Amino acid sequence: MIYATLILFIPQNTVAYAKQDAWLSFLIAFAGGVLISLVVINLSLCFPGQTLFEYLPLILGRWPGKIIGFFYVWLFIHFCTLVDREYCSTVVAAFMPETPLVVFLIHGTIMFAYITYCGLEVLARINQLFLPLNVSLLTILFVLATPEMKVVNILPVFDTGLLPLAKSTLTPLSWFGEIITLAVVIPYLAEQKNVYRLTIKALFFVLVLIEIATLGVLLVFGPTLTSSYLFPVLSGVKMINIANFIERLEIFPLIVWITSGTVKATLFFWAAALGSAQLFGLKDYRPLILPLAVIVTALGYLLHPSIIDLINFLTQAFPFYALTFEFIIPLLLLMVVLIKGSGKK
Amino acid sequence: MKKKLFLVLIFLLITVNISGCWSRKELNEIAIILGTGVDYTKDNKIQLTYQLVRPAAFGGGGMGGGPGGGATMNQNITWVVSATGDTVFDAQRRLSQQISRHLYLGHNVVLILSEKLCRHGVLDVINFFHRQPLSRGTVWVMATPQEAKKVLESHSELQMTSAQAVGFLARLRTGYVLRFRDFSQDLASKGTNPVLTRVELKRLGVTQGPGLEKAHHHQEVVLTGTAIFKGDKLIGWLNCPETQGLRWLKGKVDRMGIIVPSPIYSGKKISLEVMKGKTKVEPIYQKGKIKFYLSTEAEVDLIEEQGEEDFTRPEIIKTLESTAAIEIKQRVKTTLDKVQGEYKVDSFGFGEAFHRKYKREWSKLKNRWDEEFATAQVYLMVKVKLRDTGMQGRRASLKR
Repeated sequence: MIYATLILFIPQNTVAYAKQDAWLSFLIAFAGGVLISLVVINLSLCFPGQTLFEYLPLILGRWPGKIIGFFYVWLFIHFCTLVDREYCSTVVAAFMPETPLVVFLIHGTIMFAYITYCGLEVLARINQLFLPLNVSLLTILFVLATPEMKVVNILPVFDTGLLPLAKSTLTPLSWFGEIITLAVVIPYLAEQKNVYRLTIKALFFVLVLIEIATLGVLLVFGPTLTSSYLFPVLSGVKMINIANFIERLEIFPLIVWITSGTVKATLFFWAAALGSAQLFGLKDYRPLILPLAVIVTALGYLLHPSIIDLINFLTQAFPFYALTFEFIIPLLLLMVVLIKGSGKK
Repeated sequence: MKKKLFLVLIFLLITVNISGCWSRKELNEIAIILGTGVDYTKDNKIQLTYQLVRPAAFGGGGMGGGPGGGATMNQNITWVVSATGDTVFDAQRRLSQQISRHLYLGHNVVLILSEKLCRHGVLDVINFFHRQPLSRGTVWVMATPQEAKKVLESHSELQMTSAQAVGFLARLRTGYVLRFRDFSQDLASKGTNPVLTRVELKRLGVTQGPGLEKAHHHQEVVLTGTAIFKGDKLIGWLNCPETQGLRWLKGKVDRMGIIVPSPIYSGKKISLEVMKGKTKVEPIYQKGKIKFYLSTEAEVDLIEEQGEEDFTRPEIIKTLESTAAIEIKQRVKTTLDKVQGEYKVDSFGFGEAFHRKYKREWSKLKNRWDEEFATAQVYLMVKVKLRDTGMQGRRASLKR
């Protein structure tokens, strides 16, 4: 079973801080992502065959474990909601301003719910289908945009100094940190032995995709213009015009966004469903899909009044909130496990 | 039973989804905009002009256009409408009350700003074209000393519409042309001031054909130079020869012609065409003084000679190359004198080159860059290489 995280391909606010060095901050974030994934994998390997929600009570005792587990269920619901909302907002803002947001949200959630109903394997197969498509589309778009690119747009390197660079790293780091989902997925992987290799590979893959998008956009627009756009990739693709013939390719980044977003959101949805089932001691998570779907749709609609609010949340509050769950808690858990020596290995 | 119900549900969902979307705008409900013009009226309002296309005129059988051809006579292909308002959108709202279709900006080719608006400042109007989801960075932006409305109220002899004609003209890059993305980048940058292509509606040529013996004078939109900005305000113009200097300074010189005096035969001229050229800018910052060393490299082709130079001889080629270099230097110097000396602005992106090399010093200088630049020394080094001599080596009539 192949597993690769897909991260939102919109390098938005990172550019506002790091300017032309935004691509560097993704490199740094990648290193952080590897660190996070190592913590998560080590933690999971201490409890083979068990998900995060199953071994939390083992580490912390029954009730504290359940409470933390509940937070994680919330986290996955929230992640799912955010991804759902991001993609739906993009479609509304950039393509169909007259259509109500909730229409897209409902459609999206029905899809997640159905895929989750079919199980993790179906999700993986879908990813198998979409991933090559997305990678090739992104690469082709990058190549097509090369006539518009100017190397001077990303020079000089290291212009802004260390602090802005560090600041700019936080948002991408929290995206990479979404690899925390591994804690739920690992027991279901076919090849347990290769987890390390597979994860690093997957993260590296994500890095390459992000760098294609970020560098592409920076080279086309330069830092100032990039940070002013809500969807720089979309605006970048709009610049493609080869011989007055190959142009108006906006639909392709949309395909990439929608397909990868579906996979990503569904994974979180699945994790939330499975987590809540295990939390309440249910044998099957399927009865929980419908209530969860309702929650996700409602939250997606209610959490943010506008896309600006959403982006502000994602860039300012989200990193601290997400990294607590993605890095600090797993790290503490791992330390507890190592000190207590509870684990089976 | 349950499964069947589920299937029905899915089919229903698919039917709803693929039947179309909420925000659909059918082709016969939109008015395609090909050219946009913005003027600044006497009572300080914004006048928006759209050149709308009448699609039926495009489809019209084999008789009229043919691919890329002109239109049949006495047929309205475009419809130029304008309205005034406090903002661009205000004006557009007024227009949409008068036009029976959705105004569709997605195919806009050219954005023409009038001189009065440019002198007032373009920031007031430019943002509309950034925020519009349909507007594109590939639109050609131009400035005109005439009224933008007048420029759009024209037609082209070769293309279907004058807006498309301007677009194709720009694509040939015979002048200094730039697109909305480049213009916005220049506007946002502290290291350079924006420039715009200057266009004018000029009386150009005579149209002829059977039945048209009485000559028709025709007006066409043509490129006539460059507009120089300081910040977002226009401060002056460059004519065509000066624009060539600007192109050398910006390093965008492909297919440019250079006419040099013959190095041997006085009074005779030689035509060269630049095939490839680039300019490197090397800033030097010493003791508070800024210097720029420009090194230009150009590959030229010989197009014609009036004299009788023998271009099979290497030393003749050498002489020609240095003559061409002097000519290019002269061009660049004229432009520099005008832009740096007279207008006192940096329109060439030298500030950005400075920023690339001196990161720390730049943060101190960037807010008064134009003043600093006005005192900067610019040194120029030009290297010309003759690449081809066309289909001939030496002239046929050459006496030996």
